[in-house]
Amino acid sequence: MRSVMKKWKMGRDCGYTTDDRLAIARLRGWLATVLAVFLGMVAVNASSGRHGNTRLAVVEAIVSGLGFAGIVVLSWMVVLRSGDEYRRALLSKALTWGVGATVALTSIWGYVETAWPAAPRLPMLAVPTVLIFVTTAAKVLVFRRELATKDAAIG
Amino acid sequence: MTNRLREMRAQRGWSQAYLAERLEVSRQSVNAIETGRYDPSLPLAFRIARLFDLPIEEIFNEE
Repeated sequence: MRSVMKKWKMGRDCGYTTDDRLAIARLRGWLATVLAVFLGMVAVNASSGRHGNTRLAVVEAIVSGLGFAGIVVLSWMVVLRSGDEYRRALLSKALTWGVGATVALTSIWGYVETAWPAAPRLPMLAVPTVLIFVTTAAKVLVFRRELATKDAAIG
Repeated sequence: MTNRLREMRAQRGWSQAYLAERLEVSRQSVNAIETGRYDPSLPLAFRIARLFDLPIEEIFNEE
């Protein structure tokens, strides 16, 4: 438990400035908003039973696109405002992996939907959500890898 | 690229945390540079050279 807390503290102390914290707070607020809107739209879709070719679908498409763009822009703000250049490099790596994996996953799913009409449809609003989870996973993996190797080398 | 950062820091009896504070970077940055996982930017390399009062090429070697 102590070692977990130590690693968590080391991660938190990794060169954050007030600007970083503000940018991160904004990003978290945006992510929470996208998730809330997504869940709301899913609930509306489920209760109305509507699928595609509706005004709701257009709203979904716009919200999804804005969500995707907003997350990428805010994530880059966090990267650019990070005062520590090594941390910037790690965040850039995580963001690149996150965006790349999201594009790959959603493209593959698109082909699956086209080839097999019976395959479950990926809601448009799921794309920013996939981006959030994949990028978070990429960040955890990238930073964990660094934290795992650094303890042995502290002098 | 290789460097002598760890060796020079040890000679002065400085900790990674102290060096990081002097360079205004995180301790993780110092550790990553020392272990060769990260090559610093030119401005940071100049700051390191100034701090140790040595030319850059005596700290960093291209290999």
